[in-house]
Amino acid sequence: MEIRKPKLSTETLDNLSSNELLELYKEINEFLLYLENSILSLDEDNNDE
Amino acid sequence: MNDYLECIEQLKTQIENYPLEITSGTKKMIRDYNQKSKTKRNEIINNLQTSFLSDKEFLGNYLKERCNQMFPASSSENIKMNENKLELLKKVIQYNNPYNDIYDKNNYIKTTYNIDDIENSDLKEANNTLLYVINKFSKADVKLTKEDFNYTIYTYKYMSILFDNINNDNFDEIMAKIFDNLYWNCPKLLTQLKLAITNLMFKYERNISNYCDNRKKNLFEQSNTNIDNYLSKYEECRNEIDNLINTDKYLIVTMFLNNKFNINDYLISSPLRDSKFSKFIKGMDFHSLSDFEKNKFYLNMISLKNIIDEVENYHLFEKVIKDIINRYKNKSKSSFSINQKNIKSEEKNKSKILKKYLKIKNKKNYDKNKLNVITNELNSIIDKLEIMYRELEDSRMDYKISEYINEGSTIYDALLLASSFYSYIKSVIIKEYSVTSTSQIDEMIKKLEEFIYNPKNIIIKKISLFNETDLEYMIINKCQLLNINLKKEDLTDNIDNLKKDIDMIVRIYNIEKSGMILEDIKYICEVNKL
Repeated sequence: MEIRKPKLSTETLDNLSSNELLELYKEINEFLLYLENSILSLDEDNNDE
Repeated sequence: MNDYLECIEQLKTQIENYPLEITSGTKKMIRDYNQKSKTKRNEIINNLQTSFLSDKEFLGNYLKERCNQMFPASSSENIKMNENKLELLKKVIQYNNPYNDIYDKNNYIKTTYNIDDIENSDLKEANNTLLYVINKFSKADVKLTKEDFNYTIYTYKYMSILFDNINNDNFDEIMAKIFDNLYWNCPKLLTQLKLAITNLMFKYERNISNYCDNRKKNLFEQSNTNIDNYLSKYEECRNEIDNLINTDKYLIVTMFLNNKFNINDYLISSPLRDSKFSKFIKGMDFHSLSDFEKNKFYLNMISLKNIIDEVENYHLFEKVIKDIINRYKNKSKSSFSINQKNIKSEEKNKSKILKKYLKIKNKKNYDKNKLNVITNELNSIIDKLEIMYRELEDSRMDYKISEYINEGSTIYDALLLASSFYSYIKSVIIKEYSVTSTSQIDEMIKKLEEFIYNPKNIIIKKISLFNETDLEYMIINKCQLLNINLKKEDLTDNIDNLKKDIDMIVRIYNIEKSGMILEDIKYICEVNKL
């Protein structure tokens, strides 16, 4: 994956409104949840054999 | 921010489309490829988790930092300062009460009234009261000694020990021991001490009166008030405290943080908020009102809130008002002076018998039977005096009512008179409200006093004590004039909901007045949940 994640810095965050900050926090949280659910199990396929 | 969100979306797409399978090759090759791809994909996800968790932490700290900067400072110091000032002004009011006697002004009655209330007190508390009384008399330049307590043999014995051991480290134990010794001969020792103090109050009336005058002067000086402005200063101070509390940004935010109210209900976009406003505005939407009309609406709602509070308090103390009316109708002014005379003569009798007792007791070989007869005589006269003092207190109230209440009196006059006499108001509360604990009674008296002196009262100072008035009907009519939508059943069956709705609107007004922004409160609440 070649995507470069923009760096979160104080300077960037200073320009955001309180609502935007909360929205961003919510998005990161949801994405973390998504990542957690996206991990694939390796054992299942081995058992198929 | 958009770059960052776009990045998340792109990452999601890449994860979804990550190639996990191949179509050509042997089964083993396909399976191995699949396992390797999954492992690789999971590794990428793990790296992303680490990176985004770090961002989450960084952002969380930043949010909290901004929240701390936004969190308002409390004006609690200013509130506290005004509350102290109010306490002082309450004392000024007490000392300038036109109805009460010096004994109520000085709290002598309140202090000693409960000394024999065994159910709500204990010996330690009773002893503290005695020490407090001694100190109170000393402020009036009366240095009490054991000789002042020769009201009965037992009060003398008990107080002799108390004065001798006043600075003893084992004071409580010593007093408990002497109390136990005396108790079986005199179970009503505490009541006798109460009567002894009552007599001392009458004996040193001039000193107490002088002390009261000086105290009054000092209180005027301390509070920077005088006879003409002390009430208006009290009202100003109380309004100031209400205003400070209602518009204190820190207290406002804390209300929402503590989940007392939900900030989402208060936002301009909230349907619940809209529904509360529409309920009271006749045929119009709040948003369509001009700023002037909105302000007028808010002020009308504050008036309505104040009137409802006043009427509720009126109903709470209606039994006190009825008691005053009944006593006024039964007019028995004369019994007070008769009771006073009877007590005087009975006290003289008691003194004579006490002298007789001491004369026999001081003889070397006294006749024990004779002494027992006199002791019984003495006990029965003290029991009689106890009842007589109670009747005196009761008749004193009748006397005061006949002196101060007339056909032109208002509800305010009656309540003020009632609250001016501790023994009276306490007895009415016990009788009419089934409240027995001293703390609950005192709490109720405090509530009554706060109600009487509430600067926001309109009704009780205007309505006659003797005319039946439908207050709810008056409120409805007033609302009609103010163009506020209100039905009679709102004031009866739905009063709790009505109060909640009005409180919410008044709270919104106060938040606006405080300069606190609703969105900021929401932000603080949200960050607090993280």
